[in-house]
Amino acid sequence: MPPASDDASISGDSVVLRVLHPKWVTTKGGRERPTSDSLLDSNYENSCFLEGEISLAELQVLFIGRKIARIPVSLLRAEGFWLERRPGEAPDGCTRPSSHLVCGPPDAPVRGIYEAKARRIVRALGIEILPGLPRPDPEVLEQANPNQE
Amino acid sequence: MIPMFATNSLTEVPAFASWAQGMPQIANATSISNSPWLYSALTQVREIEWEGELIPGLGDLRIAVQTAMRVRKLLSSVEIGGLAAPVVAPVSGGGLSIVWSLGMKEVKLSVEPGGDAVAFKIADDEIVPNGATDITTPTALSEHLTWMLDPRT
Repeated sequence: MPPASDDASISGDSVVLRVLHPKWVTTKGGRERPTSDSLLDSNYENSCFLEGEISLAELQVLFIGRKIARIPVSLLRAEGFWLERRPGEAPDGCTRPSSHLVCGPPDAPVRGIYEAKARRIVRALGIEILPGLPRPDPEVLEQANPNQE
Repeated sequence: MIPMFATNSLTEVPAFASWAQGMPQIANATSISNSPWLYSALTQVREIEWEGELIPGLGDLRIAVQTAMRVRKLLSSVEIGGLAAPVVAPVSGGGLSIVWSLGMKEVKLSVEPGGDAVAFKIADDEIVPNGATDITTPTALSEHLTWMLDPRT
């Protein structure tokens, strides 16, 4: 479901963190950025986390190996996206479930309009991609825990 | 002696061909030898179909059997050689996107969980005016790809 409301407690100068699938990252003009697919959910509800309410280090551990996009809230709102907190949909082990939110257009636009909005957001220069933590080498893990199956 | 056809990609094709034969939806498929990009595209669809999972905090990357089937049918009906392998990516909520690139032009095929598909013509990273088309026939997708390959457009 699209966000039912735009949370007024999330200020316009906040930043959200969007965890990325490996295929949601591209390089255009020498600059790495998220693809529009990273902001296109078939139900208009893209999971994000509010920077400052959860640490980057915790997200990097929860989603080990995955890159993370920093997206200014002002960019999302400029395209009509709303942000709604959904603590009940936070991942297991998250110490601050209230930092989890979904963003998307509340009016569930047709695909062409949704694609254009998402594309304008991800092309903005204000977006930054942060590296993920490297996945541990299975051999190193096995040496550290020799008795574990 | 080094066998003449010893590359990984070629030695893997027979395995693909064996499971492709079991899929009636691509029984009339364009020949893979005529369209090498198709092998990569269908393999990526298969990987997403097998490996997609619900990841709280990231998205639902599972795709339905009928969505994968619709994509396979569309891809297999494209009778255009000379395409580079596209990037097939999951879209949260059960969709798929397929992007072909050539220079500054791209064609993006977006398939919804229900099977509805839209293709976009993209130039210089922007959707071209009137560049979005509902894909109801394979011809419509081929028209987009022909646009991408045409250096005059």
